[in-house]
Amino acid sequence: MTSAFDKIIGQPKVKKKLEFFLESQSKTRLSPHLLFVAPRGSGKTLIAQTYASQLVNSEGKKRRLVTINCSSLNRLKQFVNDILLPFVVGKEITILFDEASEIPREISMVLLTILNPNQENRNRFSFQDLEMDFDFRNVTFLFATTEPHKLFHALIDRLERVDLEDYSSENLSVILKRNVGLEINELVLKEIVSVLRGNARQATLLAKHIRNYLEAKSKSCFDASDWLKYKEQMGVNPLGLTPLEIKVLRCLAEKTETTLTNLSAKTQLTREALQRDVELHLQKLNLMEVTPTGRKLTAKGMTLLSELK
Amino acid sequence: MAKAKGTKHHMTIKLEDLNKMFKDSQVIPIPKSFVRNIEFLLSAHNVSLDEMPKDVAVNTIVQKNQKPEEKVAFQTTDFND
Repeated sequence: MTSAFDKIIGQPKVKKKLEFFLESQSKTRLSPHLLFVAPRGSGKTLIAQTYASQLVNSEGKKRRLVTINCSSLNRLKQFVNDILLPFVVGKEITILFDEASEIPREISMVLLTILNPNQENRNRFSFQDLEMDFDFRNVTFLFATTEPHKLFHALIDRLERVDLEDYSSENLSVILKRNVGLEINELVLKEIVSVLRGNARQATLLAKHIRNYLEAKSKSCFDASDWLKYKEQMGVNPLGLTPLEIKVLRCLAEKTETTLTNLSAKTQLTREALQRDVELHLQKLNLMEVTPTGRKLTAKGMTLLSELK
Repeated sequence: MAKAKGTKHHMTIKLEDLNKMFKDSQVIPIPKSFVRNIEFLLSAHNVSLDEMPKDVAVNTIVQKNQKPEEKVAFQTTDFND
């Protein structure tokens, strides 16, 4: 049996869960309001949109989807005038709030009222002189975010959370091969996957570069010499590390232990930026560790640095 | 008559100095938050702000300073052929 999720690679548990909701929605027209949570570039918006593409209306046709970029939401009046009145009230629709952590508090409060769970599966919301009815057989709200902690906790309680899984090397290989559409040497493929940082979007982007490269060279196979040339030209580092991450590793190698403030001074980055953008990935790869008194390089980090020299 | 000097939170300006800077027919923008204070000062002279031709100046400036309301960025997708 084919499924709308066949085009999505990996995420078997998520797909099963969503198929369960879809089966029930096709009979009852009721879908839970979902919150998709995953790191950047994991395909949460794609999965949410694929789910939305399968939701049906009262005529059995596919419902329309409105995807909102939440960083453009400012005021409640603007949300009511631009989204609720023209697209939601009295319509059959799915609304996807992309980058949901950016929803302003004022609008989060209204969503609490709208999404308040009850037996009837409908709610009424009043704004100025307007009264708006929301029947959840007709309207489904979806949310996607990388930062669920920034969402209002009571709003999270009203949503069914869907956490995406990590992509395995096999998943990333398939994404890469499918997007390149031409042959890639198997050994080279393994090496390419190691620089993707477990990120599906990165795999798609790199695949695009490889495809363009092969087309430009009129070749049908991407081999070791091509990868070597590509790495050199594009400055690809081992494990896909950025120049900044390598700089931090080098700073750490200068002393047995370094403080975050010292790293901040040497890299000219704020402590927050270092913690959020650099340290997390280096720790994930087991290249550095955070101790009660500071930061230090691990044995794996030292080996990597010696290979870089 | 209102107190000439106000409190420590006030600065005083001589009207003749203002007259040197502005002509009688000229309209100047005044922050809305100051209007209440000015109303209070005028009330000491039994003058109401309603009697003064303030609307031209105030309205023009307020409209100029108001940014047009930004639109929500969104995209609609239809899945039926």
